[in-house]
Amino acid sequence: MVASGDLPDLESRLPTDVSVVRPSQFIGEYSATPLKLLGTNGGAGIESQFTESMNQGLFTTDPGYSKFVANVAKGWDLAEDGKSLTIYFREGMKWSDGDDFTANDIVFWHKEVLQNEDLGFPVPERYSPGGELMGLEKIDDYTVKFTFSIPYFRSIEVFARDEDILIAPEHFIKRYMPSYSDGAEALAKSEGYGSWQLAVQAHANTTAQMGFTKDPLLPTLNPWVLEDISSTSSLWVRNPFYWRVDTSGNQLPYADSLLIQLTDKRETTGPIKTLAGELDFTDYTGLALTDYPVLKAGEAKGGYTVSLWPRADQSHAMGFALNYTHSDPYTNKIFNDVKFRQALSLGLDRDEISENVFFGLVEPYTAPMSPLWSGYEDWMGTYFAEHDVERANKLLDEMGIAWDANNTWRIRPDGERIIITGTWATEWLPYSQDVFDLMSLQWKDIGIDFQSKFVEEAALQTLFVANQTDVGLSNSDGGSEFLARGDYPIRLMPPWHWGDADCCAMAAYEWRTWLDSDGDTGIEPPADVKRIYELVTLWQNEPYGTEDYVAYINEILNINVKNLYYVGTVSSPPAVYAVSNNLMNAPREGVFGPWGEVPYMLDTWYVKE
Amino acid sequence: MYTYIIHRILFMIVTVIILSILTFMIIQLPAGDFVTHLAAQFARSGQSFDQAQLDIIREQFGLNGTLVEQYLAWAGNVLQGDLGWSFQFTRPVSEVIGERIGLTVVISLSTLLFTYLLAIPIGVYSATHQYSIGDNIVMFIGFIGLAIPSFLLALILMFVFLNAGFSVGGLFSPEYLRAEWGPGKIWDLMKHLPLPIIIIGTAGTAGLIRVMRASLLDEIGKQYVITARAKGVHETKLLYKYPVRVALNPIASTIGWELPAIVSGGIIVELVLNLPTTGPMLFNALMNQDLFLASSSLLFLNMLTVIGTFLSDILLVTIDPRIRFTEQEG
Amino acid sequence: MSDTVELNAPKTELSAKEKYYLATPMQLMWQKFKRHKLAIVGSVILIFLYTTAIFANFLTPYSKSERFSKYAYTQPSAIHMIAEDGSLHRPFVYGVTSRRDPETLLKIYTEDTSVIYPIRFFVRGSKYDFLGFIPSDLHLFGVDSPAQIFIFGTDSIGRDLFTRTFHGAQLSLTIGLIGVSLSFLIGITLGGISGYFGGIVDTLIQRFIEILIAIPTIPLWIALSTALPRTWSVTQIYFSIVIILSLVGWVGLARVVRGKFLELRELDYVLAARVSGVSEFTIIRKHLLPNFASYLIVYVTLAIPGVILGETALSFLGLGLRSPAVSWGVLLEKSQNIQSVAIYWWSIIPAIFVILTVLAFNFVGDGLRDAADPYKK
Repeated sequence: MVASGDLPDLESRLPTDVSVVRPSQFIGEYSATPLKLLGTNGGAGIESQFTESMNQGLFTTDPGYSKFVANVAKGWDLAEDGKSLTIYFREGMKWSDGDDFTANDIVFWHKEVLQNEDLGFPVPERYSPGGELMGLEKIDDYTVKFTFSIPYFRSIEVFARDEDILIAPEHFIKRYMPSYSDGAEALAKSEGYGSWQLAVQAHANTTAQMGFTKDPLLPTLNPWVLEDISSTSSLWVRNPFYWRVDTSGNQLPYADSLLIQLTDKRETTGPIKTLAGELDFTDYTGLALTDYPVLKAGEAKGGYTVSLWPRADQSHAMGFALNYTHSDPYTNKIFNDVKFRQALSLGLDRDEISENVFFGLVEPYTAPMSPLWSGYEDWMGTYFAEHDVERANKLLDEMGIAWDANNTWRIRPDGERIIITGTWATEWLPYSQDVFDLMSLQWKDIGIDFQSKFVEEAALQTLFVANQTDVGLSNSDGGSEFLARGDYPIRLMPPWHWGDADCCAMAAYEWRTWLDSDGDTGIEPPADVKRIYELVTLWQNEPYGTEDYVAYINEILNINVKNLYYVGTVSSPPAVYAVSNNLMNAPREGVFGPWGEVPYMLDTWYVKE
Repeated sequence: MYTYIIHRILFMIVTVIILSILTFMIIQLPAGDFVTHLAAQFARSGQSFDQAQLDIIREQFGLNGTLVEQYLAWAGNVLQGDLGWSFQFTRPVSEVIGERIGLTVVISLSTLLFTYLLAIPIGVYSATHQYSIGDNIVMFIGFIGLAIPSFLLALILMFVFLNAGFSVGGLFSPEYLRAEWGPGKIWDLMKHLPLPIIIIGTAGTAGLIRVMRASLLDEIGKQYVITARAKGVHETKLLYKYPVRVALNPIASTIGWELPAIVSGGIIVELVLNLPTTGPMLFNALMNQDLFLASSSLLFLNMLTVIGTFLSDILLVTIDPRIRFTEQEG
Repeated sequence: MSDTVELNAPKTELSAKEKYYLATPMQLMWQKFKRHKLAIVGSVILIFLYTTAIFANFLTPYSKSERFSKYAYTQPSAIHMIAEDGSLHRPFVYGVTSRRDPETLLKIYTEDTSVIYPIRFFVRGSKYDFLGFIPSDLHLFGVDSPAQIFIFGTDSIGRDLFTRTFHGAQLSLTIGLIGVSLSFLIGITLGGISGYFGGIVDTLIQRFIEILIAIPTIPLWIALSTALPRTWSVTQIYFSIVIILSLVGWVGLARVVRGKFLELRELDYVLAARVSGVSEFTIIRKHLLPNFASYLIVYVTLAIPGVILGETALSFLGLGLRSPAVSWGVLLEKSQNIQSVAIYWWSIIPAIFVILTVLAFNFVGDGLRDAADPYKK
C-alpha cells in the first residue's frame, strides 16, 4: 500500500509522541490470519466484549490498576483546587481515515454535539459537576482545558473511559449537520435515516449504539476499523494510522483483521464453537461456569486452554434488597426491621449454594462491595453469613411473627402466609434459577415462602418503578470503587441499583426519590440512609486516597453492612475463559480490574500458525 | 371463477390490514419498550441514564407517541416502501431482513425438498406394503420423529456431529463467513446444511409419510382401482396412473401453507443451531420489543400466510372439481 | 314349528357374520380397534402414565421439592442383586461417597460397598396429601437412611429426578387434556355453526379463522406469556398457558368440523329429517354429530401430543411454566445445554416420557381412525 502510494509512509502516519506498549509475551509478527472472536446478535444491541474493550479512552490504568496512565491523551494536569483539568494530546495523531486528531475535535464535540439543542443529545450528569455544564478552553492544537464550577477530583475517573468525548471527528460529523452542510438532510434521507439527527446518532458512536459503532465509515482511534457487518459476523481491518507501537517500534496491531462471529443464542453457540476450535478467544460473555467440565474435557481436541479467572472486582453472585418502601403496611414494617433481614441472611445455607451451583468455588459473602474497596474491613464480608436456622427463627419470633397451625409457614396478623415474590428477568444470569430454588427451599425452614417469578426484562423494570416488587435481586457488577466514584455507588445507596432513570431500581425507589427531590416526593428514609446520601457527595468530592476519603467511604460501608440493606449470598463465581493455544500475547490468567474487565491488549494479539 | 378471485384478492387486502393492526398491538402488549431494555442493558454494564436521556432516545426512535400514532406512522412508511428502523441492529429493517431471507429460503427449500423426496416414496412403499415389517419400521421411525422435542434432537445431533469432527453451529466455517460466493463457499455451505435439514425436516417428513400412506390407502381401496385391477391393468401402472396422483392432492393443497413456515418455521431449532435465518431474528426482535423489525417481519409473514391460503384454495378448486365456488362465496 | 327353531338357534349362538351386522357402531369400532396392536400398546402406555400421575406421591420415594444437597447431579442409582462377596440378595443399593475432581470440577460419586441397603416396599417417608386430601406418608419403595435411591439420578441441586418426572406428568399430561378440550369446545361450536348454517355466518367465521390462523404462534406466545400479571400464582399461570396453547389449536378443528357439516347437511336423510319438521338443533345433535363423532375423537387424540410438545417448546423459550412448578417442560428446560447431553445424560430422561406419551397418543389416534373408518374391515 505504501509502495503503491495509497498510504503515506509509516513515520508520517504515527504521532510524534507515539504510545509504546510491551506485549505480554512476545514481540509479535504481523499476521494475516484474522483473530476469531464471538459476539452476540440481538439482545438490546449487538454486544461484544471485544468491541467494547477495543474502544480507546483518554486514559487507562496500569496493569495492576494502581494508577491512571496515558492512553489517547498523552498526559493531564488536575489543578490543585480540583476546578480544572488540562489534557495534552499527541502531536501528529490521526483518525483512521488519515485526518488529524486535534483539540478542535474535542472543542467541536463540546460545542456542537454536547450543547447542540437541535441534535438533542442528552447531557449526562457527569458533565455537569455541581449542576453546571463544564467549560472547555482550547489552549493550543494539542491541549484543552476543562473547567468545573466545583472541585472535581473524580474527573480523571469520569473521563478515563469516557468514549463520548471521542465520538465525533469534526470533519466527518459536520457533513451530517445542516448548519455545516447544505446536503445534510438529503444525505440522511439517502442513507435511509428519518432525520439528520438520527444520521448523526447512527454515525457517531452514541449511547443508542451500545457503545460501539456499526458504521464502517466512522473514523476512529481504534486498532481496527469496521469493514463490514452482517447478521453472521463483523469484520474489522487494521487501522493504518493506529498510534501505538511495541517496544521494538513495530506499529500495532499485529493481526491484520478481527472476525467477530455473531450469534443469536450464545449459551449454546459459545461452548459449541469453542469445542470445535472455531474461536481463538472466548470469554465469560460466551461461556458459563456450567460449561467448564465439558470444555475441560474437550481441550486437547479443540486446541484451546480453558481457565477460571477470579472475579475479585465483584462482591457477590446473587444478593437481595427488600423493597423498603413496600406499599403494604405490614410488609413494609417487617422489611424495615433489621432483625427480619438478619433472619433471612441466617436462614441461607451458603455452603450448599456454593457446592451445588458453583462447583464449590465460591465463599459465603454478604457485603455489597468487594474486599478491594477502600475502607473495607475484614468482618464485613461474612457479617451474618453463617447458617443458623435456630437463631433466625428466634429473631422472627422476637418480632412477633407467628406460625400457621401446621407450623409450616409464618403468617401475617390477618392470617395470610408471608410470601416474598422474587421477580427476575428471564435472560439474566444462567445460574439464577438454581440459586432461587435453593433460597426458596432454605427459607422454608424459617417459615418464609420465597417464590421466584420470571418475567421479561422490560416488564420487570416497569414493576420496579411502579413500586410493585417485594425484593430486588441481583449480582453485584457495576459496583467497583472507581465506577462508583465516577458515577455513584449503586450498591451502597437506595435504590441499590441504577435508580435515576425509569429503569433498573431494585428496592426502595421511593427513598431515592425523596432524597433527590429534597423531600418533595417519595417516602422519607431513616436517618442512616440520609447519612449515606450525605456521605456519598462528600466522598466523591474528596481527592482519591486521602484520610477523609477513606473515612467517608468506611462509614458508608459500615452503615450498609450493619443494616443489611443489600445482602449477598456467595461471592462472585470465577469467569470462564477459553484461549486457543495458537493465540499469542493473550492473557492466560486474568485479574479483573475496576471496570469489570481484564486489559486484554487486543492490539498485541496474533495467531501463530 | 374470476369474480371469485377478485373477491378473494380484495378480501386478502382487508385481512392483511386487520392483521397488521392486530400484530402491532400484540407486539406492544408486554410492558415497556425497547428503550427500557436499552436502559436496563446499560445499567447492567455499569452506565446510567437519566429520564431526559431516555426521552430523547424515545423521540428519535419514534416511540414517544400513542399506539395509534405509532401504528399510523409505521404503516405510512411501509406504504412508501420504508420498513422502518431496527433498534437492535441500528440499521434499516429492510437490510436486516434482506440479509437473512436468502439463507432462510435456501434452508427451507432444501428442507422441503428433503421432506418430499423422502416422504413420498416411503409413504407409497408403506401403503403398498401395509403391515409389512418395512411398513412397521418406517411408521415407528416416523412416529419417533414426530414425538421428539426438536431442541433436544438438535442438541443431541449437534453433539454427535461435533464428536464426529463435523463443523456445527451456523452455516459456514469461520474462514468462509466473509468470503465471496464461489465453489469453496458453496461446498462449505453444503457441508453445514445436512444437520439443520435433518433436524428441521424430521417432524415434517414423519407427518408427511403418514398423510401419504393414509390417503393412498384410501384410494387403493376405492372401486375404480379394484375395477382396473379386475381388468388386468399392470400393478405399477395401476398404482401410479391414478391413486398416487390423487393421494398427492392433499399434499399439493397444503404447499401454500409452507410459505409462512419458511420465515418462522424452526425458530427453536434455528436458535440452537445458530442459523443466520429469520426465525431467531424475529424471536429476538419480539423479546426485545424491536418494534419496527418485529412488526415489519410479521407483516411480511402475514402476507405470506394469506397468499398461501389463497393459493391453497385456488389449487384445491383447480384440481378437485367437486369443490364449488358458490360455497366459498357464501 | 320348525320355523321357530330356525329363528331361535342364532340367538343362542350368533355366527360371526351375524354379530357383525347386529353390532352398534361403537362395538364395531372396538372390534376393529382391538385388532390394531400398536393402538392397544398405546392405550396401555397411556393408562399407565395417567395412573402413575395420579398416584405419583405414592409411587415415588420422595416429595417433589425434597433435596439432598450431598447428592447433586448423581447418576441413576445402580441396583444390585449380588454383593461384593458374590452373595445373592434381594435388590439393594449401596451408599455413595463423593469427591470433587479438581480437574473437571465435577463431583464423582463412588459406591461404598461395605453396607448393603435393600430396597424396601411400603415405607414411611415424606408426608403428602393423597389425591389432594388424604394425608399419608406411605411410599411404594425406598431405602434406609443414610443411603438414597435415585432411579433416574438427581438434578443440579440434588432433587430426585424419578420423583420429579412422575410429578411433572401431572401438569404435562393434564395440560394436553385441558388444552385440547378447550380447543375442541371452541372449534366444534364455531365450526359447526359455520358449516351447518352456511351463508353470511359461514363467511364471517371463515374470514375470522383465516385472520386468526395467520397470526404466527410464537409472537402470540411471547406477547401473551410476558403480559401475564406478576401476582398470579403458579396455578393461574398454568391455566393461562393452557389457554394460550389452546387458542392456537382450535382453528384447525373448526375447519374440519365445518367441512364435515357441509358434506353431511346435503345428505338425503338430513333433508328427510328437515322435511319431517325436526328442529335444527335436534338434527345437529341426533343426526350430524354422531356421524362424525369418531372422527372428532381421532382428531382430539392426535391433537393432545401437539399441546404436550408445545409445553416443552414454551419452556425452552423461557415462556412456559417455571420452577417451582414441576412439569416435563420445566425439567427439560434445564437440560437445554451441551453439558446435559455430554455429561448429565440422565437429565434428559423426562424427554423419554414426552416421547412415549406423544407416541402413545399417536398410536391410539391411528387405531381409532382405522376403527372409525366404516369402509375398512
